[in-house]
Amino acid sequence: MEKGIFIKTTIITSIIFILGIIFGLWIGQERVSALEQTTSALKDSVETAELQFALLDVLKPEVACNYLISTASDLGNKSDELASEVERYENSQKIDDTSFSTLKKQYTTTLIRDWVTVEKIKKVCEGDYLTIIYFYSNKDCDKCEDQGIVLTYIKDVLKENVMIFALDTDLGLTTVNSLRDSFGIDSYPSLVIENKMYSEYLSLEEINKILCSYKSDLSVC
Amino acid sequence: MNLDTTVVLGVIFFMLYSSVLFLLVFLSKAKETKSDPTPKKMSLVSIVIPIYKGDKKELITRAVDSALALDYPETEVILSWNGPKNENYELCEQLEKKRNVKLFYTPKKGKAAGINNALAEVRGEYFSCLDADSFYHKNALKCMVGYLEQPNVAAATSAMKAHGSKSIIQKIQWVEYIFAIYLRKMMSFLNCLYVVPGPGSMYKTEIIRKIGGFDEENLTEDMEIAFRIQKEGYKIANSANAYVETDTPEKLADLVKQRVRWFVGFLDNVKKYKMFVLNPRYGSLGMYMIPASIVWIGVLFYTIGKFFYNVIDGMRFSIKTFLLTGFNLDIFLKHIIDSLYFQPTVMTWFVAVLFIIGVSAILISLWLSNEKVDLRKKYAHYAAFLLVYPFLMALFWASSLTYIAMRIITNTKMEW
Repeated sequence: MEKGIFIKTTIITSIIFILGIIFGLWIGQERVSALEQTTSALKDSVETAELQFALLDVLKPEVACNYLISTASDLGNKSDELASEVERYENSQKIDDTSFSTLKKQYTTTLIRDWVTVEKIKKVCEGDYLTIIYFYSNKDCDKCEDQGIVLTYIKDVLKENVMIFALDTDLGLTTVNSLRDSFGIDSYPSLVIENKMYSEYLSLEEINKILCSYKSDLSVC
Repeated sequence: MNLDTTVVLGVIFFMLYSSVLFLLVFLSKAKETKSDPTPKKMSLVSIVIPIYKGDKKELITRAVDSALALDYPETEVILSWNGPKNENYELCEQLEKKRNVKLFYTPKKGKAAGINNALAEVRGEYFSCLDADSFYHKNALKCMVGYLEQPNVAAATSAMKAHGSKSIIQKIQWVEYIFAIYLRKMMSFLNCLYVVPGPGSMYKTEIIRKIGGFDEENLTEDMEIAFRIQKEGYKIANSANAYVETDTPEKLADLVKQRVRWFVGFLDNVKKYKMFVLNPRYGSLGMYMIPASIVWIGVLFYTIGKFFYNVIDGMRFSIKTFLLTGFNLDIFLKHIIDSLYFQPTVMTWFVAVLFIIGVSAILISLWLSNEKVDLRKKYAHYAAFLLVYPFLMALFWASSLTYIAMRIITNTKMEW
């Protein structure tokens, strides 16, 4: 009995184990697909905004701006939702990271396009939201976790009044690198608040002070 | 796949393997688990109750009463006092006079010395040891003796149940003992039992005498004898119907002390019988049970360590958040709700499978032990077992390894 039962156990355990791995790969793929859909929706919204922007010349500015301001708000909500989903996925146990790495690059590129669009809308239509770009690295950055905590809190408190674009510099994306270089960033964490660069960790009080200098009617001012 | 995921999957494979193995053994031997061989003749059984000064009067009387009340045609009851005497010795003398029991005495300390002293005098073809804090159910010997009539079987172990469950610690042990009835029965089918427990187990007198009796220097003489029996080529059987109840520690400190003795004793015996490890000559005991038990220690520490790491890291993050941003109830509640967000991962499948196998194993254990699930009365038993037992096991092993480290550093042995 002894030898036979050990062989049977090995076969059955291996089957359960392989089924588990297949399930893990499938569920991972499903979740990445869901993230892809959300990224795609964000991308569509960005493209819609870009098209609306192009229509500025033919539409009356006040009409076009109404649409564009509402689109900017939609873009903010979508990118926040996507950022939460991406964070949840990153923190979960997974077997294969390959498809997610590709997706994260797409997501980051879309985020940059999103930022460019909302900046343009703000300029032309005088949108009353503030933008923060957060450059971070998961390697050798002692203060990035702290900065992330502070920015999450600011987003939770100020909601649509502030749009935060967190860019992972470890991805090696040319767009992120060129943006980083254009702001002269060489250390992390670094923040670009309303197009002004801060190459150090900023506390909650410091960020609130900066934001209030641009928009004094914020709840934190 | 990163290193952490690889280790987690390795741990899961190991857990699955062990759980599936026992379940498969049960499924292939389901009919035999509750039936014991019918004895051809019921030879005299000597019941040896080793007693020392720490045993309580009422428990000694209870053990003797249960031995005398056994449903078995021919027995002799021997009280074997070991070590210094106290007032309870008089009780034993009275029992000798009034209750037809024999009383032996040895100044040597230790249960093994007590059993060896009696072993020299027992008349029975078989003998059964009964710890003074335990008692037999009426048919215990009848269930075990049929196994001893089989050639090559040197010992038969009982089905131990925990008596009483006042404290949470005892409730946990109640479930643990019930679960052990299932594990021991399956281990007996695999011929990999590595302990012949003190409460109620039976031995063939001639074989135990031939192999030199019990090791008086060993921390866990009941494990040592199990290894030696199998080293000499004999087998150990188990009856899941031979119920013997035993008192269990009520307080955590006493339980830790007991388990440190057991676990250190296990490691000492693995060291003493290292020739068993991965040796096909010793079958499942050498090829699976001993290596798996050692691996389990690593798995236990890894799992509990990971749990505490996550808890501490979560607390660290919360404290950091509080220090950096202050406390905001709305945001705090939002984070709590976010943390409850369920998302299936590769772990979902394995947790579900292990949960189903675990629940099945507990149900089989209850069936084997003639106990009802009785969630209304026993919910605290099960809840405490599921939630606390893994942490207790980690505590026992951590204490045991600390004890071993101290023993090496100070070169001294603890008195038990």
